[in-house]
Amino acid sequence: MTQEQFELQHQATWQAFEHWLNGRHKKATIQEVTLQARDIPAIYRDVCAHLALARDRQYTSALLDRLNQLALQGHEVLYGARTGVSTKIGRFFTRDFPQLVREQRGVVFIAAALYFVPLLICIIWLQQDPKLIYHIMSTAEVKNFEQMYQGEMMKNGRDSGADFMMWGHYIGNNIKIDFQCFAGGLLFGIGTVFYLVMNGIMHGSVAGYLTQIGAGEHFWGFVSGHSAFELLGAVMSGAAGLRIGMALIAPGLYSRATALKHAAKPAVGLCFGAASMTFIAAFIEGFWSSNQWAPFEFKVGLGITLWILLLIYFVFVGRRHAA
Amino acid sequence: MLDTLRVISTPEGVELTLRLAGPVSRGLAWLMDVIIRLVIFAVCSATLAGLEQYGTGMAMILWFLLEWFYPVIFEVYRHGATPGKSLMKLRTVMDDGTPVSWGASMTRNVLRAIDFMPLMYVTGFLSMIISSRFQRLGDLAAGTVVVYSNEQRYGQMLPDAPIQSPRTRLLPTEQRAVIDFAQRLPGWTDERADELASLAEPLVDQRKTIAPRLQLVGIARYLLGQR
Repeated sequence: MTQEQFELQHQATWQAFEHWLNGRHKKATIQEVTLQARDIPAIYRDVCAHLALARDRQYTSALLDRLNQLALQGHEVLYGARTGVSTKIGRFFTRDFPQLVREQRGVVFIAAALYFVPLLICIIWLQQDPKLIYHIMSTAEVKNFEQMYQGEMMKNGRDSGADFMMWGHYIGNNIKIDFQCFAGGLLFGIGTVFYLVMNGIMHGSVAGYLTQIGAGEHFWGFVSGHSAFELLGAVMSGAAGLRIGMALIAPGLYSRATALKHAAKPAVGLCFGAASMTFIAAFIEGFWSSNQWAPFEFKVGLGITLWILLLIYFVFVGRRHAA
Repeated sequence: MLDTLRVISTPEGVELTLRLAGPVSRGLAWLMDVIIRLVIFAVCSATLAGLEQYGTGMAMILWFLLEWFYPVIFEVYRHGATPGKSLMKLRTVMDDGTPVSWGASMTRNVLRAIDFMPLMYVTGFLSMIISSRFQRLGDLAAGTVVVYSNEQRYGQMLPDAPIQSPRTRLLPTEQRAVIDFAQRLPGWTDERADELASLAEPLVDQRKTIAPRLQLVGIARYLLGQR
């Protein structure tokens, strides 16, 4: 069969298929589409067969390209169907995320240790002598946060404009840190470990120092509300980074590239969860933490309640649907 | 392999080819995206400036979204192409040719932070030239490739020329080459086409009055069965 005969014979099928493919992207032309959805798989298989035949018979590049393009688009449509995003997101928080955290508990515990151990050591260590903080930070930095937790804002609270501005700042800055901590896993995990330990030391020394010099009430009152979401969020993004790093350090039976691909799916889930938690933390930190009308005991009580609720969430939610 | 083609096998038993995009076109697409984002940010923050601290807060959130979610949103909802990519006729797809998923798009765009290191995508560039499919580290982790969105379309009709039979027997691949040449003729100037055609020495007779390119077109028409 010559190419011209071949083209003549199948031209109508190709055009109809092409028309259908184009119609999918533009809702306006949907009436013009003549093919029924149930016919599509059969037509797609035909197009694939035509492509294979055309290749075998050494037809021209123009025809091969056209058929390749048609088959490629069909392949994309038939094998690329995905369920709606909103149901996916809903299911992620009510089921998948806590399941994922339990499934990946190894890296989660390591990340938690890398953050909380330096944090606690620094808090306790600085109780001995607050001057030790100058080993960790410069004088200017110490002045800066001292003012932050003892100054005007702590006595009178912020006005709503400043609340809003700080909310924007927390969202941008803190989620960015989560993402960087996750991405740092790609450096064989070193970037992530560095972020976690570094943040643990920094936060621990600030907390220890302020408690020691007697500004503890302001400080703990301010941070307790958002601490659960903020700190566990940081730990989750660290766990995500470590998951990636582990795939590169210990790929097991796979090549590094394949192990990385396999690790990316759970890791990006953890990272997305971490970013969401940090997002919630930014809300609390922006609009609740700085208020001065709530008594110290209430703020700390709320903080502790949130910690307990969040831990319950990670331990128990989604167990009924466990695979 | 000289061709930048990626072959994927489908369950129907055929092989489909994707044309992979290299560092230069991807770099240009990225640059355009940077410019587009800067313009959006500049315009928005100028209008938000009137809102004082509220405006500053919103501007910071906007910058965060532009930095991290601009590529993800476009890749998922615009068939794998950010505005910069679509200007360069590129798109991101999974390495099995299906549309890029949310997770994959998030992965490759968050890991950008590492590909950028230490400056201007040095890591990503090295990874691209080492990997066989022009993938930066983010692509490797996400299992995605960046491809050209459209195959080049050649004209279906051949230019007019007197039909002639080839003077020697041509192998199937040689026949393909001659036909491809004829179909791509509109893309070149006549002088360049003649220059290329005269390389096919035994097929093309320089002494004839017909231009070399038209001699090849004649042979192509013969091979296509237009006798």
